[in-house]
Amino acid sequence: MHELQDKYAARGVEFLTMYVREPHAGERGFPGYRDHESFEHKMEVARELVALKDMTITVGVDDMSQEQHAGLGNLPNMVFVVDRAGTLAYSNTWLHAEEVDAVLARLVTADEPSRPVQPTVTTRGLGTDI
Amino acid sequence: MAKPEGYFKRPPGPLAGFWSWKYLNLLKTFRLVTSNRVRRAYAAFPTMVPLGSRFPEIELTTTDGRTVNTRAFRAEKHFVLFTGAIT
Repeated sequence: MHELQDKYAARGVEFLTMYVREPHAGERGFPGYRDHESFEHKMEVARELVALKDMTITVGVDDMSQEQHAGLGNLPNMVFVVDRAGTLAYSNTWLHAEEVDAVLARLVTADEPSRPVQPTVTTRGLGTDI
Repeated sequence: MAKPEGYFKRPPGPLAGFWSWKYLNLLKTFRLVTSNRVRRAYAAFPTMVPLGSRFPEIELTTTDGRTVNTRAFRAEKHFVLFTGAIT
């Protein structure tokens, strides 16, 4: 995520994370987490996420009804690329950084053909692309 | 750009994504990935907000106390929206 942000923020691309429900609260790797009990609790855990991952991408919290999250598909790790006209250009249920890179390269190159951008982001060797 | 068949139910990576099971409740995960509800959710995903359609406005309260609304990006910026959590 941050590599994409570093590459495209200066080319008119905004990055935003919607913090949603904890899908694996209390499970083996996450014994200290529980389902959100209030908006304040949810915000507290969202702030913990920012600190844990050293996030520079803006993290925002949906309200407890999660209507906005539900309206997008209600899945835990979705990704959407929206162009400046407000049209959905790409979506997926997991972050495939190479695909997002390719879509953004196409969008920003179309904005400024004199400054073309090539996809360069790779997750090969990281073990996973999330 | 997105391939209709390209939607993954689990993360790619080592062991076809099963690396992540180390951290999870196996029974719960098995029930989830085999449940009709989850299958329907993944099947419906491409139709919730179809490619090329107007993306709904999203308004969130940020961790630093601001309100961000994606309406502010319209005509100004492209944007990438991720959803996620710690677990």
